[in-house]
Amino acid sequence: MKRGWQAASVALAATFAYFAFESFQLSLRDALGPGPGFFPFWLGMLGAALAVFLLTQLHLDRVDLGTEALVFDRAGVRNAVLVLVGLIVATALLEVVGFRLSMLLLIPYLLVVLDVRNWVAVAICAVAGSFGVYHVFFDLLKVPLPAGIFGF
Amino acid sequence: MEGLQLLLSGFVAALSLQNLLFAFAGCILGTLIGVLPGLGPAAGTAILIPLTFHLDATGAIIMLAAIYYGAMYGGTITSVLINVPGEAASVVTCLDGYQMAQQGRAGTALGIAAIGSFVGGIFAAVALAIVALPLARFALAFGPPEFFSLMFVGLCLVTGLAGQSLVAALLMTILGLLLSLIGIDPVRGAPRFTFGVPELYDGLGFVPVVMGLFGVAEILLIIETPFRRMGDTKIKGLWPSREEWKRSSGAIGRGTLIGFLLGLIPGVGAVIPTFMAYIIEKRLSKHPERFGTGVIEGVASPETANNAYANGAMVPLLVLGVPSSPTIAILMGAFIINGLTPGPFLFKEHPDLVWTVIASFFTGNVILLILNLPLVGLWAKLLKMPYQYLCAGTLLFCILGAYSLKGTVFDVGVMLVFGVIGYFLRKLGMPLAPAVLALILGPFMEKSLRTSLEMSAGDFSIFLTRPISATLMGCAALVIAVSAFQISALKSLRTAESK
Repeated sequence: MKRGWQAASVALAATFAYFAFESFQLSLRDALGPGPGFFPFWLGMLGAALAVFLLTQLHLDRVDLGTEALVFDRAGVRNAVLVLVGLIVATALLEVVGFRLSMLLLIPYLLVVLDVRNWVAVAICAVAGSFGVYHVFFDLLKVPLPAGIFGF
Repeated sequence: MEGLQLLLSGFVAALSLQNLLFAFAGCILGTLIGVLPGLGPAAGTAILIPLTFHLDATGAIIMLAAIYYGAMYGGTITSVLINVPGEAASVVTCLDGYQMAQQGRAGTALGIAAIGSFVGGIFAAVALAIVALPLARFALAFGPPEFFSLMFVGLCLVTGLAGQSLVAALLMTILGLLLSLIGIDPVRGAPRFTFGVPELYDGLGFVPVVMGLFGVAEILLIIETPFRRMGDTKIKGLWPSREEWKRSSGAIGRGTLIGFLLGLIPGVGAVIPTFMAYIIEKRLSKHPERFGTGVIEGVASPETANNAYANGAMVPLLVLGVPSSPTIAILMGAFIINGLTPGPFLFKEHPDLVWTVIASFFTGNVILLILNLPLVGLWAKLLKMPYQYLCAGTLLFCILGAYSLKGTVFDVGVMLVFGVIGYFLRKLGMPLAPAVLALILGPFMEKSLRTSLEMSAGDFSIFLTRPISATLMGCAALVIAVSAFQISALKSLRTAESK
């Protein structure tokens, strides 16, 4: 757990430093009062200082992180990564092949990755989740959804 | 008297067929979300926001509020039947609820939970209707310094109560505030932190970020560690016996009061009122040793407090524009999407909407009671649904919701990025509530701060020279000092225990 918190503190310190640096490029004050950089600059500075403080406290073992260890279940993480990859690909395809086709591919992929082997159920979910959902949201609720290059 | 008249006109609108249908749909969807383990009210409300995009503002808010308190009740069903809380506030219900189910009294546990939730919800709605107008009138006297101080104290409360490390909670608050500032500066029109990406000029969408942090992250965690499925628990006899009624009535009364009062304080969250109601009930009991073995008071008090809190938490949102929990912050986001800013001006500018929404809390609680008592067996059957279908369905809704907000794939990408961030932050036990509240309050805070400093020609003492603002700033300092003291005392105690 400690390593995880240290990594998070470093990431946060870097993020806040970036915000402070970028804000400094904007004006902190102008004729009317505080400029666009004022609030984010001081927030970034405070955040970076606190992240460094947390890092120091972690180094000195002064942060009570409880007894729980940071556990990653290997098979579970593999499934989570595969699901995430599927989501990224489906997102990339969303406006290219349209909502219906991308969901028609994504839903069976997700179910198979998650160990569903009932092919009838997979097929029903795929059609309901793509064409069914599109019909409800696009045709009935008028929610804009992409059609894709094939026009459907 | 004026409040009563406005409430009556609100009832006329809330009882229209259309608004009743919205409340009904919200209660069903909310209970469904609460029933499905893993999906909390925050994730559920965020995922279902797109359903309301094409409704009128009143209908959208009524439906989302009903989803919220429906989810708060739905979590009870899993707590009682499979000892898995559907949302954090139902954790304490597991202690006696599950024991009751093991003794064949699952029906009574669910019945008293539904009745307690109804009483708590109705009382809180009555109290909300009474205090809303005077409080809103008082808040109309607030200027930018007072609003800044109010939001500051709200964030301090959320930060102070957020978790094991005050510094980590502060870091999450600052992260949320900074993320909320991405986009065009609202005062001078300068682009900030946009990396030249035109989609970021409008800022990070609140809905995709919250869907990622709660919805996608939650699903990734479920995929990593799937939850148990329900066994065959029989549900019969929902109505408590006379003896059980006698024991529950006091618990319901106390739970109502505790839940409502704690709902008024931003940052308390739904967990504290339920635990407090349970602990008080145990302390007052002649047989405290029976708590945890399946006593009905152990279900009645926290469940009542839970729903009274859910409705009570609407007071700071509607009257002051300060959300008290991530789910309420999402509701505030829904107001903003519909072009409305919660706070005292809402009562002045959109009284019809506000009072219809308040009246809908009454109708919603009645619908919830009608739904929950006879349909509890049906809800229980849903627990047998394999988690794989739940995950696939939720992710589908996340993509649909993130895309349909602005019709851009960019928002889906934002949701996925924040899903991964949320997954790691939750694995580490970093508090997300302060980040979400800061994300919604950030733009308002910055505007109030800058306007205040323009009023005072850059003099920060404006926050301390105006009485209301100074009082609020004093409260904020006190909250942070008390939180730091509590965390340090807890740490010393654990160190002493380990030695």
